[in-house]
Amino acid sequence: MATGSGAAAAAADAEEKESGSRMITLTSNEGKAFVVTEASARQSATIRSMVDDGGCVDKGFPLPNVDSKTLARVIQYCDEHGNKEAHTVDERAALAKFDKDFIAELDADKAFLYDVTMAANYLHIQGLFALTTQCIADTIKGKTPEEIRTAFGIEYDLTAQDEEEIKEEDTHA
Amino acid sequence: MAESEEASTPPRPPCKRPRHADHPVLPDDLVVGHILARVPAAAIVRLRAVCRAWRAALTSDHFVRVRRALRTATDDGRPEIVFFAPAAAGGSATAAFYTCKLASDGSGSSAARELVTVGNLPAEDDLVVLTTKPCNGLTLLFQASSSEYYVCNLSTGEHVSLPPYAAAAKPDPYDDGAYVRSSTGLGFGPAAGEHKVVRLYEEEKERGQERCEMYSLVSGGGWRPSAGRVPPGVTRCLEGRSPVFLDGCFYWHMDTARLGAVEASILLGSPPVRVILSLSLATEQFGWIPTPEELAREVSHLAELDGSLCAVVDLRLVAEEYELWTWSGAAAPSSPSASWSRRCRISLTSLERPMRDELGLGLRVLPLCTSPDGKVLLATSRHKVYAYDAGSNRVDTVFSMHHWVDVPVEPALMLNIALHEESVVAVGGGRRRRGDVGRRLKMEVGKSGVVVGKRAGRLDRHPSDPKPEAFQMMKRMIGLAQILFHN
Repeated sequence: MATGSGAAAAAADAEEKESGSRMITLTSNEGKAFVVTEASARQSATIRSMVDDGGCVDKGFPLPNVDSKTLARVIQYCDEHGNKEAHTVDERAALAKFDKDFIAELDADKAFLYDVTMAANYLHIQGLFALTTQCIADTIKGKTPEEIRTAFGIEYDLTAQDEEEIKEEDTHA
Repeated sequence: MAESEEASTPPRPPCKRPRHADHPVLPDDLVVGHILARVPAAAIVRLRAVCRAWRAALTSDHFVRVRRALRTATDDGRPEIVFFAPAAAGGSATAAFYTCKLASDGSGSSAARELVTVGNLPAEDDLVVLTTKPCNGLTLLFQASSSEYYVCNLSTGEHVSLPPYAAAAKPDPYDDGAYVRSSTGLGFGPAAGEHKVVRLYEEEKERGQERCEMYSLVSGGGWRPSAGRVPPGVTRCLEGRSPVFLDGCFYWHMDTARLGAVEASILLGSPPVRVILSLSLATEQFGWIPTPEELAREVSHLAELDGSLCAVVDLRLVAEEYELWTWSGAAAPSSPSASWSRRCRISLTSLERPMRDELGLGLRVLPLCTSPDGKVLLATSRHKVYAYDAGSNRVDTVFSMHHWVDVPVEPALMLNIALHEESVVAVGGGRRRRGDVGRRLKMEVGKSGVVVGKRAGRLDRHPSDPKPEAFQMMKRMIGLAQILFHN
């Protein structure tokens, strides 16, 4: 949210407080409606900018790229981060614990993890996107090229020349 | 999702990569720009062997920029240093490089991590890191005993050794010390996108022949003479240190310690105005940086401080102080308004002991950078980093190598502490030339997360450090000499 001055920011804050109880409807690509608090929905930069631009809050937001299962999980994250305070050390620790458990559960189902990552990217939910991409990066870090090809469904297409260069580059040899 | 602007406009992969059907997939730009950008640099080299698209993406400048932007967005801003010592295991022929984040209040440098070990590189007393911070991700190493230069990425372990070069003359043919009339530096030209090494020296075989040679890491082709002619006599004023490289130019300080007064005035002017020599990486032409006379007489050596050329003025023996001067002209060397200004004055007399004695000892001080809370971090040849707070003229020790490793003897030419910045920059632009010459280093990239144990109760001082009393004695003698000669 781009606010030019302190006054504008204060006004926006006041507005946010005022509208804190406002509910917003998000609709999955299967037509299922999810009603969430505005604070929760504002975790998504995409929805936030639509709301701030005076978009049709009452009609709700259709999300043609997100299925119900994924949206439910994304909302679980947004509810936690949007509706809870993170001012004290304890509150921040509670959120960190939530994130840890949340990602551990997602990590067990890679296809679902990728779906949530795509949704977080589409909805511009920065915290969730950082969480899922870091999780995938941590998985990649310890894998051999062959394991990565399997995990990501990538076909081997390196030429003989590439292979020779790679052999040269291999500093561990 | 944009932590950075570049992330949203990746170059297209050169080939459409085939995929297995019915497999969960993520788009290429998301994988490269957001997931691979979070993988530690040490693992990136291995990932270049996954497929052609990844190979092209992971060696691109775009990827380097995306990663840097992501790091800047998530980094806490605390400076990170690299230091090296003979490895604890592996014998004296193994050098280990460690990295450590600094906090200027001294509380945060509690963990050091092994970056890389090099199985065939003795680090005892003749290994030198010639760059005080990575030059676009790469570091220049010099092994004096074997006369070999290496350009390395200390994060990934990639490296090349530079081709053989003509030997440089010693100041005195019978001198067997470390000093030769030669200075080598590493630079990076963003326009051409390549690293170049420059070497300014006097030939050993043909005394009096001063040469400047360049070596390009991408195009290779051996050492070739620079386009511009070397100003006469400059190699007589080299003190062995690397030039500072900043915004497309190399800078050398002309050291007159080994010259007679007459010779110095002929070479550098009288008053000595030609004391900072520059060489443009792009045009390969030499020039002189205008330096006021008072400053010109007192510069001890050059450094880089927060993107500015910095002159270290060492007045310890005469006035018990250090001064740091910065020059505003590095970004636009031809600007007429470029000027020198005194950045800070570290008065030793107002420091508390033992810091006063510690900083007053015969060590070389090199500013590294300014910490997020505004303190100037100073690395010293005694393997420590100090934080100087200009407001209170207070100096605190924020890092001591002695806490981590058995320190080597003070390096003859340079410090063994430098700034570090994790990077995936490919050495030689990712294009390895067939038949590259030179020794391969046995690089073993540290397992990320392996923390070096902090050692308790170690000597804070190296056995060869001079005692404060000896230094006081020297100062008294200089004072006495001054009185005698002035009367």
